[in-house]
Amino acid sequence: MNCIEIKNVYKNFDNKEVLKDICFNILTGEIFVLLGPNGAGKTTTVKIISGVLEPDQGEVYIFNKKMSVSSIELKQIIGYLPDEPYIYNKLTGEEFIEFIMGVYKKSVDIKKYEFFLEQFDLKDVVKKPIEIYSKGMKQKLLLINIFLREPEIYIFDEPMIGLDPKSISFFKQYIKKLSNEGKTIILSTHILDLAEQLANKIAIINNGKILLCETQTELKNKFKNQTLEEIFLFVINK
Amino acid sequence: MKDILSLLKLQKTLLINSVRFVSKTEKIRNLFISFIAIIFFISVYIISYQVIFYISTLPVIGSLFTIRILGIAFLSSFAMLIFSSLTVSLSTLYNTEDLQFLYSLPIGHSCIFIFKFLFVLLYSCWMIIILLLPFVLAFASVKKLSIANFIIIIFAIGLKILIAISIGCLIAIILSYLFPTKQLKNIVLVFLIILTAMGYTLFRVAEPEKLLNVDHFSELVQYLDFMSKPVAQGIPSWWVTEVFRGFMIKHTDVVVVNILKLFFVTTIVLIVLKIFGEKLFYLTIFRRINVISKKKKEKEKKEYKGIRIRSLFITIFIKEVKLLLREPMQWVQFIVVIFLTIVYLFNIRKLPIQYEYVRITVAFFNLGGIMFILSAIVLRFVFVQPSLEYKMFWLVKSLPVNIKKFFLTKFFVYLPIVLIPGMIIVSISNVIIGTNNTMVVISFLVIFLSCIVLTISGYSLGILFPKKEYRDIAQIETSFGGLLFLVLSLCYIVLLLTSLAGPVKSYVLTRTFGRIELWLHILLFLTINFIYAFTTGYYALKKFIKEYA
Repeated sequence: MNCIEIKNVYKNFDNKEVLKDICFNILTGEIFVLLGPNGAGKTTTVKIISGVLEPDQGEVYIFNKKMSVSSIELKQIIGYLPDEPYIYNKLTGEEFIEFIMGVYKKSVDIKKYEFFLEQFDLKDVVKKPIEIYSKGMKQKLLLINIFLREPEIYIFDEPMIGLDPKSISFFKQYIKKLSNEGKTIILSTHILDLAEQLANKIAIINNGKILLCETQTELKNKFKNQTLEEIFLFVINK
Repeated sequence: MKDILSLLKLQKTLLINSVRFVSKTEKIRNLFISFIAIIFFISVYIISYQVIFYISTLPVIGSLFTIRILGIAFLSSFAMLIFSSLTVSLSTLYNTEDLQFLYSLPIGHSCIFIFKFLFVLLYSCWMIIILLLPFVLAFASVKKLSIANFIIIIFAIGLKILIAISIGCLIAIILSYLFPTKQLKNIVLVFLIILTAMGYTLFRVAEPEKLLNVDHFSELVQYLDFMSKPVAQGIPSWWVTEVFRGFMIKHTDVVVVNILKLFFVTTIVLIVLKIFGEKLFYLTIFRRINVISKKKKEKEKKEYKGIRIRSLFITIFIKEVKLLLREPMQWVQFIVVIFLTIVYLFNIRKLPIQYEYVRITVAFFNLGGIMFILSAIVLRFVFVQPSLEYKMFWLVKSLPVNIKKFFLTKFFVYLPIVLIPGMIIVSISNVIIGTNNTMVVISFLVIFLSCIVLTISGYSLGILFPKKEYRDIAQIETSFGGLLFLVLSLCYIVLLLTSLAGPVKSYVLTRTFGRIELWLHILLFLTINFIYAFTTGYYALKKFIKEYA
């Protein structure tokens, strides 16, 4: 079943075409990885899917409902992690979680809350102001926030930046678990290993255009067992 | 030296680029700010000229009093420079992002210290120079000093500035060495602001205007003796005053002696800063890094009990209150506003308001005063919010919240911050004035409505002109949007008072408002409120939805 459908999306910033005719589908329960070099249009694409940005042309459908910045109902079922996690520095980690859960009108499952704090090593700092957190700690706090909410769709923009190896390992395991439970995951990254390990489907974007969108199996068949790095470089250079 | 020049060259390029690569809107903003600065400069010059000219023509005490004013001006600017340098040093020397970058370069510590000090010098004195220069220029014009004399005076002022800033910088370094905490800047800033506000309040309550009245002294000789005494003789600010006096009485020896005094002290202070300050700065930086990396003892942790699900308004309200209370610069401004309000109310109390018609007139103009205080509150607490939250708007965008509802919720969250002080000030001032019930009702209605309008316009202009990058809240307040809010609010206050002036005049004279005219004035009054609130609110909501949503 199609979970997300992106149809002919265009986006301009300051008269520069950032996205050109973006089209792809994501199935429910799929781990979809959006790969691309810096400035390729990955962040803009995920922002449009999350309802943070409006496309200039084209549509995004989530469970057959049109997504826009005012789609409150759809935002309820999305967990979005941005590439630059600016959050309220004067709140404590715990207060930030409370604020977000309050807005989503969801109660906190205390067992899960403590489990995630343990896994991401935030137990000692969660009652301290976010201003003392490192970038990685802020990233972990946002991940906990998303995982606690248990949305249907998870959208992560460069989730590995700043994370320590333990957290990366837990993140990968948990993502696989969520996918097995039927949740849809979108990962925007330029880390090829991550894509190779997790992705069901991979899309390569460059200069605002989708150059390729295939499942891992299709890719392996098409490119005769070449590594993802080789495929990526081949597609980008082409 | 070569390294410092390279670093300064880099800064020069950054400065030029910041002017070169700006959008049309930013160019217009910069022009507007420059225009306001020129108007301010000219206004200070004209007002200073008039005041000094008037005082210097006073018989007997004229020349004594002008020198005394000059002494007070130089002394207060000297103190302001030390305070300013102290706070600027704490942020420029220690808390800037480029410190790590500078230490990664193959340049010496001494070079970094001098480079940083030059910035402390620049950031600490530019505003005081803008304030002081037209005043000194006016003084020189009234006293008809030659250009050569004026240049020497500017040189003396330059030395005074160098001394004050070096002292402030040294104090900052010593404080950082003694109290190595990240919050030091905030603590010092809070302390200085409260001290200044208290000082100003005490100065006003001491009624300095009595000094102009000879009757307050038992003998004329005693008064003249008081006026001829120097203002803080041992402080460099007085030496600058003496340079001025030397030119006025044409005694070159007085000028030379005081210039030499200033030069000698400047040299000593700079040597102490270079040797002692630089060393201590070096020690402080590396000790700070150690202090930050040390693990503090963990407090006993309470078990997490989960959250209560509340309405969107309450959830946002709780968050806003927490953020407000945890930002020391925000709540310290509350204290400043309280002190300024005390001075304002004291001024009202001192007015000669024995007659009913005077009381009504004062109560009417008091509305303008209160609205001006409210504008200052809105600027400090409401206007700054969109800029403070600008980088966090991705979160708002991703939340399942109706953006219009969110916009309105924000307005209702900020309204009490303006409304409560507004109602308190109008109540107290009405009691002090002792006006009649009709004026009390009018003043409550006007202030209630203006609280709503000013909150809407303040928040809206904050959204329309956010300051995306800032070092502290003061930079947001003094940004283009902040200035525009003050200018528009001033126009709003003047128009509002004008719309009510007719009926109030009629009431003063006949104790009636005049029916047809009254309705016209009420209509005008409501239209002004509506236009100011609606236009700013409408465009802000449009931008909020388009850009933020």
